[in-house]
Amino acid sequence: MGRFFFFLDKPELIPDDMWATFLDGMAAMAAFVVLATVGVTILSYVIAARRRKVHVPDDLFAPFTPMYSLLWAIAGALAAGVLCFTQYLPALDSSEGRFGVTAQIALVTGALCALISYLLIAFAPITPKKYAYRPASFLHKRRA
Amino acid sequence: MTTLICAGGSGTRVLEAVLHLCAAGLGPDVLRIFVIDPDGTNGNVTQTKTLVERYRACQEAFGEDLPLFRTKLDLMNGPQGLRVWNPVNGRQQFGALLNYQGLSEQQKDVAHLFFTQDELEMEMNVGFRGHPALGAAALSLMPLYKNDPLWSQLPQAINQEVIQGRTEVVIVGSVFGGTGASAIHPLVRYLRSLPQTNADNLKVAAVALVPYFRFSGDATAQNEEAKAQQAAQSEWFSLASRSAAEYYEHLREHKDWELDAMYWLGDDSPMQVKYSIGGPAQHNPSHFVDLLAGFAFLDFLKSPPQPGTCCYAGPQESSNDPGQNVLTWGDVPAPSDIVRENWYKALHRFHLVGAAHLGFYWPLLKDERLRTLPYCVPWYMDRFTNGSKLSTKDNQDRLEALSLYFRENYFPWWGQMHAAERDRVRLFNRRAWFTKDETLKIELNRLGNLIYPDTELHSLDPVDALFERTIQAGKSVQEGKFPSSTYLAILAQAAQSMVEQAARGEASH
Repeated sequence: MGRFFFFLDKPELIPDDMWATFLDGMAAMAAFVVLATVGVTILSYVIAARRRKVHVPDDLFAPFTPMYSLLWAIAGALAAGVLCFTQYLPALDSSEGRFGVTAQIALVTGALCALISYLLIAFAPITPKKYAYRPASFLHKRRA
Repeated sequence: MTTLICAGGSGTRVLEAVLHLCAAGLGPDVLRIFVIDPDGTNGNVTQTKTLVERYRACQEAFGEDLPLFRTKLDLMNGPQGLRVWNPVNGRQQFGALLNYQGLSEQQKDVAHLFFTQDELEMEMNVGFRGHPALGAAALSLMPLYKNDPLWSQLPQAINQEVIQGRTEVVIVGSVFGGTGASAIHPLVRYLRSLPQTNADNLKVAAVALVPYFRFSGDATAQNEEAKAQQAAQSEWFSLASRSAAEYYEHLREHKDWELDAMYWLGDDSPMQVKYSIGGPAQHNPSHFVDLLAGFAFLDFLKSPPQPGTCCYAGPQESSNDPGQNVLTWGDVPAPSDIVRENWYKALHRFHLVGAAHLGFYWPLLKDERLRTLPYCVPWYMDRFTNGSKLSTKDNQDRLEALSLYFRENYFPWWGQMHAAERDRVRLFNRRAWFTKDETLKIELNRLGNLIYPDTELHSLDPVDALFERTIQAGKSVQEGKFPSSTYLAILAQAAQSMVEQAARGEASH
């Protein structure tokens, strides 16, 4: 599972087996964070999209605010970063490369959260039909 | 084919009601119409002519694909739209019509038994002015009009139609005024004389309106005395109606009854209208008796009563407000409760289509953002961006015709009928399309409360519910003749779904 973060450069002073164990732990943590964040994002999106009503024509052209649910990915990234940062020293007995590794893990986890959530929003049938074309509007702009 | 002959001012207003019912999809496939009115310049005739033109524009645009506006109008080659036949020469006096000057002294004495000197000298430019004796005399000369284009076409058409099957003719007019009262019976006799074969296939009904309005005293007082004497006096309306009823009763008793059905409609709490001697100033507002007459017409087409039947309809006394008559959906003359329910749903649907179109969808379709962001409206994206363009001038013109009909004919007509100060007509909720200062404005928050009464809580959620249904309808309705008719089909199907849900008593959300 540690291969998930294959692109991370191992600090020189850290033994290989410790680094591999750490990456395994980080991968499991990241998977959990991604899963939880995607779940929260989708739930929040579905609630927001269903609550959104069309009362006047302007409502149809207003920004599609349920997409703001994707901002939960930032929370996912922060959570992954905090977890990585706090576990780095106990797991590796060294703080060498701590900030760099934390930043990369947070970034990748956040990006994964956003990407998976967006794909689900855009292509899984969870968007109310009245906004069917809003999440992936760039696809339909060409069609129009 | 069905023929509707509207006699006089009241008959013309009933034609308006019938056209609105046809627009809602309740009329026959084809309807032949014409008006008999010696005062062809009166305001109601002018208004009805405009309505006929707008109806025809909508029928051509939408009628082939939809139940709405499906009734085609046959105007009998009217050169200028609706045909208004004048049985008299407006430039002559009544005496000239009878060739009074050419009569012998003895014949003149006989004429004086029937007509006063004032009546003989009455100018015919604004009709019979509530003098049925004049109209009856003029219309009894009907066989002499056989060279008139109208009266040469009608016999030919009816003779052809009775060979092919059943054909219905309905004559509608008031029995308390001039033209209607004098036209009904001579017309029935004339029609019965037409078929050379299959005479049983000709079904004739009359819709007789008894007093439902009276002239306001102030207005009458403002007229000159001479005019007031000649004018239709509302004090005489009851007497005239009674005479008419006795006359038709006499025909029944003496087996001289040539009608398949006769409908008597009226209201014993007459509405006050401003008096006008005729011409463009005669512009009476719509009344629910016009609507009842329209329903009586449909009732006859749907299920003709037993031959010789007389039907009576009018409002009922309110249980909450004794002494006041109110009209509810239950008072609509219909052959059965199921048919009445279907008519109710069809009108509710049409009302919803009109309100939604004027209040939401027409502004949306005119919104420039729709051209650049069509994906914001899925049914528009699905149906009108791939070749079938709703934005072309032709389609915009058709939609403008539809808007004009709803804005200037349909809703004002219903609004007059539901005039707030009376609150006697309890069919639709007038507040949904008229503000308190009497301007037409669709209240979208009452889209779910189009039916009487006006409830206390209002919400815009039915707008959302209808929009969701347009998405479903956008996937299933067939391509229409024009993109504009596809659009109306989508809206009508969505409205139908809302109405069915409302009929089941479920909330929109």
